[in-house]
Amino acid sequence: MALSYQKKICPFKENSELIKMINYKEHKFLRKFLTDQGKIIPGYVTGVSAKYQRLIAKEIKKARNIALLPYHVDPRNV
Amino acid sequence: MNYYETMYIVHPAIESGRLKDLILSVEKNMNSLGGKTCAINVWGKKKLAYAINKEKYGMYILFQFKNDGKSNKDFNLGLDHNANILAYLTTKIDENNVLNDLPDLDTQLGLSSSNNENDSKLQNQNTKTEETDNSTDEAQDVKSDAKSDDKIEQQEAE
Repeated sequence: MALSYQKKICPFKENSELIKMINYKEHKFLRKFLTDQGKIIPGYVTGVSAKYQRLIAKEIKKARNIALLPYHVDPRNV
Repeated sequence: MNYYETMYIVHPAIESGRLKDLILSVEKNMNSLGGKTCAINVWGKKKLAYAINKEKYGMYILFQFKNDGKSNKDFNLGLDHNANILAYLTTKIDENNVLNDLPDLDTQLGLSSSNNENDSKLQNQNTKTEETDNSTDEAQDVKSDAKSDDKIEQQEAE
């Protein structure tokens, strides 16, 4: 980990227009921050800063409530 | 006064005629509680990420309104007691996020046949005017093309 360390830049700080996309209605965009199993990918993997990671997590949970995103995906059924 | 939006999922077996009645009844319920309707957007039939009441599909409807937040609890209770609504989510939104310039509810549901004809007539008129505009443009283009062709020929001759 330490050897392959490379500083990631937050995509929302690079492009401020992406911040508008953090909304539960934009479930196709939020799918980028989920694994195939439906788990939320941590910020240290995607490079998203803590501020926007909090927002993303909140919106993903809203989208899960209204069945736009899954709570979990069973890999055996895919 | 704040702006709120409710997204709810209607049972997929409901036909568009009854769906309109349901949407209007939800709107009426909100208006009776002192709210003001801002926008209604029908997303259409979508596949759910997980089954709700053993249903795999649902009609998504977005309903935006203006109200003080006190009566939202009663409004949500009304949605809860409606057997045709599978799930709902009420959230607070910013005034800038209110949707504008949405078509009529009838056109969104595909119900209005007479309006569609009028629309098609209007569209035809528009296309006619566009065509006339285009023809003038094309004529100019042809002229410019002819000029450029002449130039090329001259260059080749030289």
